Amino acid sequence: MTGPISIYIHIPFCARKCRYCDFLSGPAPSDVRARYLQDLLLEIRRSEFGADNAGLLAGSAVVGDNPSGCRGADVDTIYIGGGTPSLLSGEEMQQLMDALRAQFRIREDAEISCESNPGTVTAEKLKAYRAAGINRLSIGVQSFDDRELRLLGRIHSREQALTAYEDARAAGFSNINLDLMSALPGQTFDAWMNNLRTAVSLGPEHISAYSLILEDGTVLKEMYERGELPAVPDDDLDRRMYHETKRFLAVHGYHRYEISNYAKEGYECRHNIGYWTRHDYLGFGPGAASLIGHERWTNVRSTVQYMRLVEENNTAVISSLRTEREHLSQHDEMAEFMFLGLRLTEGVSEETFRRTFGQAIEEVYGDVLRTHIRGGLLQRENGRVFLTERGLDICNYVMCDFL
Amino acid sequence: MAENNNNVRPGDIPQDHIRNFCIVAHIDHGKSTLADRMIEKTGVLTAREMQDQVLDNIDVERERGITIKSQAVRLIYNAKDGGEYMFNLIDTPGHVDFNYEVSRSLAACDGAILVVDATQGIQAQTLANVYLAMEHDLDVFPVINKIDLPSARPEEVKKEIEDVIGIEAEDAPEISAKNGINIEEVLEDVVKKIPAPKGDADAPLKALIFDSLYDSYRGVIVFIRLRDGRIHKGTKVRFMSTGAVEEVVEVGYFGPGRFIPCDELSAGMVGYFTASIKNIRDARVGDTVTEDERPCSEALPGYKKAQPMVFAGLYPQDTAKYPDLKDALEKFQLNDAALTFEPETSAALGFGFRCGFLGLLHMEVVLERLEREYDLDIISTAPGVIYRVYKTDGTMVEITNPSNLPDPSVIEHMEEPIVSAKIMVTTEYIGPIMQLCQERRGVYISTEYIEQTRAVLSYELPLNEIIYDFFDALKSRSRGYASFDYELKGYQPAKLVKMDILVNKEQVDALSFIVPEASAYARGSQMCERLKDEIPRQNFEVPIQAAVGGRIIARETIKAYRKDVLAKCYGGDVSRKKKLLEKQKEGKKRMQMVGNVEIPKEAFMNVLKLGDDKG
Repeated sequence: MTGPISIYIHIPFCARKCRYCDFLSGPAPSDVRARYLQDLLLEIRRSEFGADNAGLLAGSAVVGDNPSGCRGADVDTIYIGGGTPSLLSGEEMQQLMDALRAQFRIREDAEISCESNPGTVTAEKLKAYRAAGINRLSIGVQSFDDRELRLLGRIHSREQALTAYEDARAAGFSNINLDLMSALPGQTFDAWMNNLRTAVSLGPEHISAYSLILEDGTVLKEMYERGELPAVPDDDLDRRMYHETKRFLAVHGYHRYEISNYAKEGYECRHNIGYWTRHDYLGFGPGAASLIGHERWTNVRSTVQYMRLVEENNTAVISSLRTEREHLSQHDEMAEFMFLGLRLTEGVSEETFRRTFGQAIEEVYGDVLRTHIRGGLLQRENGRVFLTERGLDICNYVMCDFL
Repeated sequence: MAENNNNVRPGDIPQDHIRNFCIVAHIDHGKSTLADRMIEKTGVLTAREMQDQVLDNIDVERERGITIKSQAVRLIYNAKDGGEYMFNLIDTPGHVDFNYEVSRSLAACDGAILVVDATQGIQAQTLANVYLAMEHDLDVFPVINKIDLPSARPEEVKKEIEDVIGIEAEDAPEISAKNGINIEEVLEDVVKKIPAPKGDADAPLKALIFDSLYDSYRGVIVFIRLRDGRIHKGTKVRFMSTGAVEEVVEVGYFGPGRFIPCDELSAGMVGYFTASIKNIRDARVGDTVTEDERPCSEALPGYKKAQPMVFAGLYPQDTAKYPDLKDALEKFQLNDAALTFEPETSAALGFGFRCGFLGLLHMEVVLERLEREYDLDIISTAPGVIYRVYKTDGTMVEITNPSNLPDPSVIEHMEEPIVSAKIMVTTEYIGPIMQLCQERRGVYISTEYIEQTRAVLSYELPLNEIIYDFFDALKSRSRGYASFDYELKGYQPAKLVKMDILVNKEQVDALSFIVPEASAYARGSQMCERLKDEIPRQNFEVPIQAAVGGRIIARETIKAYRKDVLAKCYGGDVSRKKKLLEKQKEGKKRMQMVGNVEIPKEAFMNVLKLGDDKG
């Protein structure tokens, strides 16, 4: 492990499960949520990469180097996701951040993001979050159309989304992301563009625009199968929306830097870029994944089991949480380097590949590169390999060839 | 090997206490189950030793519930008359692909048990097999099976047997092979109704080869039925069709599931011998074995070399596996005299073999074994028949691969193989079945009513029209009530053309096929539509065209696919994403790259399915 790490915190609760959601999240009574937070803090305090175990960090800064006086790994991004992390009260958020600060050396300029649902925030809460150190707020707007919001099973309205945005600005957030979803059942091209226009008129620093995928096991998928949904946009409409999104947002100063992410210059999400460029990260909470050096693991995915294991309070707790452990071979890492890196519009750097793996990209993936360059899906320019517009549309088709 | 735990040596049983017979039945009427029960009741096997369906030996066959390679078993039965009898029960394949094998097995018998399902009555194969048995002069007696079923109607079925086949059925045992009911009656009938073998043990050796098996230790094991003479270790035998002479190493008989050596086999008996024979082609089914020093005057009639009727190209998906495929086919051939193969190359598929099979079932069995036993991924082209091409220079060539068809300008005319088919069907489906036969270029011969509700339709059909999915179509149009049997009749002139298929403007040789000129247009369109369904969307638009003689007669377009993105990738959950990509990669592996188009390997075989949604 070299250089700073990222931290992901998972809050597996929400006010109500959205109909499209297949993530690890669900509603829970407030006492369970409070207990969960304590368990989460316990996991953070026990981290072997934290203050009490700083020596375990191969290649990390030695204790004496630490100007803040805090030991543990250097952290340059934190992402609090869910679920709905904004279910946490201002005070709880403060506790969480305190625990992280006690345990890790969080850089002054660290990017600290938190996801939020407009239906769960107030002006006061947002102020408290800001005070706790959150400096990037991601607002799960999804749509500015109340009918679409109801269809998705969101708990908030267009009005609440607009208010949340204003409150966030008022609370001092200068880095705000809006999450939007395209290709919703019944959504026309114009309806989607209206959503985009509204978002742009607010002037957030970052916009995530995902096209909806009907995942197995979700309510929306079941409704779809029962024929209860209005027409789901076909691939042609979906791509038209996607391509127009890119064009429209570019005109308004947002450039696409990842398949579904757009930002004003300098506001790209550092945490997510860390995933795509394979920086080390530590995940806390159920289902949270970590990558440290050549090791990858994921915490147990059941919240109940997670809490039970933490509360057993033995010293082995940390390792007992971790499942799906994988020691990555160089082959695995090269594959990940490629298929993760290609999510970024700038693609991967040939030089970084060579430096990381001691082999030229050409030697390992020459045939695959040639095939897809010939097919117009990949481009190779100025020492970088990246997907073309067309390649981004069908990126899985290209990426799987790097496995 | 030397398991002489049986006190009865073949020589201890006089010739008039030997009974050589087989069981004939329509598929699923209970032939194998009855064989099992007979083996059980004769006490050669205890219930514990009893494997289900002892006679079926190969995995593939067991799963399909069909017996493919014939085998025999020798049973000792203590009859009610106090005598000790030697039964040789010879199993016969139950599928039309193996008609010749059936006929040789029958030739080794003196009688046959006809099993008829009490709920279904006479079916097409019942008739076909019974007539075949009668042609071989076998004494046939009937048995009514499945009488335990509520829908059994034994009296009607007996009457049907008497009316249709014309054999006495009044006293036919009413049995349930499954539940072991009345099996003794069957055994007693074998003693009473099947004649003892004729033949002279002191005459020169004359034995019929009715099957053979390759064993890696002993070479070919030759299954014989002795008509005259004797055979023992050291006998110098001569194979009459080839003239080859070999010295016998071992003789023996068939215990249930194993070979039991003995000193000698004599006239009337059924058994085996080995003689360091390395190739199964040197011991051909149907050939006559005699003594080299004292040969019999003439061979037994009816010998035919096994003739493959259906041909297809087999290619390893991984071109590096070509030697493995060759090796596997060579090994199969040791045990399968009907399988032929010769190397061929395809621009689309690389190096492979043009293989000949008795029929589609035979082909499927070979394909399945290649995948299962040799772990080979095989791409098979659609099966075809042997066409005779008469050229303007007066010569004739036989074509098994459509790509090898000579240029139309040098073709005088072509001929295709024709079969005589008998289709048994309940009268309500006669209309749809006749329509099906007509669509398949059938020539109507006759309708014979077996009873008021059932009839046998006779048709002459081009073999090419029935090898692929005719049976499926037949079943779907008769709701499963039709059954079917055929034999090769000969060749007939036909107006045929070669259809070429172009994928993304490139001709794919492995997809070419031969088709009647009159239906070229319809088949071309159908083929393009089917390929459009079979080939997934690609990165680019792919035109599919059908052409005859360079002229495009049909076209479809596979649109480029638009989207294949995992839009949201939750946090660091890379493993999940990787799994999705791995699955996708697996999907790609099942594809064959032809030019720059990925074609699923099944497509090469599936495209010839005519489809039958008219039923």
